[in-house]
Amino acid sequence: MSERTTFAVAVLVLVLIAVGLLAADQVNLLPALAATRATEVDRLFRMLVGIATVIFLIVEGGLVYAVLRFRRRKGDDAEGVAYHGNNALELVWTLIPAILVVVVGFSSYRSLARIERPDQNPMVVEVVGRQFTWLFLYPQEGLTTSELHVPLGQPVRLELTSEDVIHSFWVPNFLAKRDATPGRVSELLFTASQLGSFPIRCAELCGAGHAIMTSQVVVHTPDDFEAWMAAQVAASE
Amino acid sequence: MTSSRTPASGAFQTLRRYISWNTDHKVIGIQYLVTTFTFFLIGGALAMVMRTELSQPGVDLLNGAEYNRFMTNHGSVMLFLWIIPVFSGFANFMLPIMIGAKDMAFPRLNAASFWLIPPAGVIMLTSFFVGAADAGWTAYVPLSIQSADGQSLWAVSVILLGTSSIMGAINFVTTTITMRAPGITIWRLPLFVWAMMATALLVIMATPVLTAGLVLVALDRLAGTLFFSVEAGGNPILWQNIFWFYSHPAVYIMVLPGMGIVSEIFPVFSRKPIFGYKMIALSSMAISVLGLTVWAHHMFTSGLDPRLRVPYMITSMVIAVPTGVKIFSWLATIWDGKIRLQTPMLFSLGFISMFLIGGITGIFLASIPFDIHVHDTYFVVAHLHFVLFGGAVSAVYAGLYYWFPKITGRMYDENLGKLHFLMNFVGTNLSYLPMFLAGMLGMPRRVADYAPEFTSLNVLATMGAVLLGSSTLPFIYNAIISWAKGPRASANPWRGLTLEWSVTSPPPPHNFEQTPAVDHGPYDYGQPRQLEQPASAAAD
Repeated sequence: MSERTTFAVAVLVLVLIAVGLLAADQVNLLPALAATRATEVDRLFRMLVGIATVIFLIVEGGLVYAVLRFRRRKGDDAEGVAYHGNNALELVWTLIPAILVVVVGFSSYRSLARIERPDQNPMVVEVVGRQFTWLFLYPQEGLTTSELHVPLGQPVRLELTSEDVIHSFWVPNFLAKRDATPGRVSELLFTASQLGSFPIRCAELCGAGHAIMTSQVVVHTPDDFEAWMAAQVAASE
Repeated sequence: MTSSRTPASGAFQTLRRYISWNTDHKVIGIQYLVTTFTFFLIGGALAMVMRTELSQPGVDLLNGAEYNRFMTNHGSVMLFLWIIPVFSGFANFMLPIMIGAKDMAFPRLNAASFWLIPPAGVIMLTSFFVGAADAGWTAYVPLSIQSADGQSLWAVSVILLGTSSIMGAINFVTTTITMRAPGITIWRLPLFVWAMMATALLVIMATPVLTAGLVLVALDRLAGTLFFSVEAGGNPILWQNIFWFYSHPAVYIMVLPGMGIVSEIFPVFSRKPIFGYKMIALSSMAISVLGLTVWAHHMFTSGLDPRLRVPYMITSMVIAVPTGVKIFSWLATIWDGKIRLQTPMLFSLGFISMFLIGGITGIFLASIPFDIHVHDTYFVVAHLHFVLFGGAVSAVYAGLYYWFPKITGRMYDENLGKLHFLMNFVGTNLSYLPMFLAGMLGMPRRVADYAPEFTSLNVLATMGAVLLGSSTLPFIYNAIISWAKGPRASANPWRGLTLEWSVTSPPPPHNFEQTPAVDHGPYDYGQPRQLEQPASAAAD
């Protein structure tokens, strides 16, 4: 390659990397995060967005550039340049994606290990999906509710199952989801990091009421949670 | 009395030829193309009703149960009655000619494989009268065991269509291996033929597994067996494994032939050889083999043993490498070319541009921590429509325009073609880009209703759907009018070098006056050779 081309490619690469980093930093496409593990997923997502942006710009940019620059001019009936391949180029565009796959795969694996590391002494809540409602059982208190109440900062382990068909328990603000399957118990870990009320949606087609099988995660301060729990226990007696 | 080997020509006068049993691969090819396109329109109509319901929150046009039936049949019709069999239509017409053969290896098996499709389609659609299938095209148990009678008809229909698919694949493989004309070595096969080989191998390996699973479901529903009964100790996740073992390779069955089609078009419309022929051919085979190893990436939230998930994440990401090889090779093919932007080329460029978005978002989905959030949401709906509609359907349109003169003997109207492309490109992006956002922000899939915060995204998607639906109109008008009265097409209007362009438009009854002898590859553009074709593609 000529010196000028090398320089232009180098500048282009730097610009693309800068745009990728900017995209990763600025992207705001996820719901407001309300659980500790969600931050790890968000970080992974930003990395993916950065890499995706660069790849997208290279390929789409290359496509648009090629169509504009190499469009047949009127009256030009000559053939194009007759090369069949280029081993070096083909090696590069096989190796670089392969390296990216290794990077993305490894990062994903590490994030997965982090978000599924078990907690010490989590609060256990059993979740039962039933067409078309969610039930939450607090085994220690012998309490059943239709909304999931938890204290802020308290590790929670959900044990999910279904009474009928497969449902899926999804809290978008936690970036967390797990299927609730009849005859099996699956596990989902989270620790709420924001006070407030966050939607629970069913994410596995379960029949006519699938779209309305919703509930809420209500995150209290630890004191408010105690008060809520006491009131629930009193009311059920 | 019409002989069963009457050739294809002048569509309307000889309409009867196309609605009767005919073993000529060119007639069968047209039968496939017209029939599957009709199902495309039916699947599209179902989608238009769904998008109307979804244009506003609240349940207005369809209640939850009705929505599930429309949604299930939209997916099932589009996948099993359109995008999988349409490529058998192209392969039927073109593959024998491209390899210098007079017909397929098994002409009667070929006709039989087509004739399974109309009854299967009727069975699937008349199921609406007995309570249509409503468990999604994925038919997860236990939900599908409990569905109304139409779910059983659905299973029968899919079994018939799988059988048709397997029969076609056997024909394509046998024909390609045993019936090549002299000089057509493995490394001189057109890339569309390579793509069909890779596809056929997947069809043969994977479809029987789905068929077996459907039989088990049908037995549970109809004969009181307990394969998937939780009470009797059955495991619902078993169905997921059986189903996805086929249905993931199925998506490569849906896209590999399309990649083969655009590989044919880029060299012709850039006047240059395909770049990296061998790597493109081998990448089709690599995607085919790897495609059999990724299926559990559909099950990352299913609660299966956590240790099993990571291998599938790895294989699902690795498959991006041969896919990338293709995309870069296509880009290098048009680079330094003399690009002509007629409709086949426009749709091929659109294919790359939109398939790329589908492919990149596929990597996001392969990453388990992120997939946990977006699995079963509109993010997936967006991804699948970018690869299937932005990708595979664009490739189908590219092929329809490219081979229209060869199949019909007439040229289509180029201005209508460009209008179709523009409406299709804008409509696809407008329909599906908002869905990525909706999914990430919290909208699950397969819902008749949604929280009000998703309204504007859904309105945009519905607008895109209206544009997409309308975009078929210039195409249908163009196809019908041009076929009836368009200008007569020459043998080789695009100056292509593959063998179909060396015969008349449409081809004569046995394709070639005498078996062609070939001494060069199919992509030798860009050389100082005479491109006005004599009757055969023999060397100079």
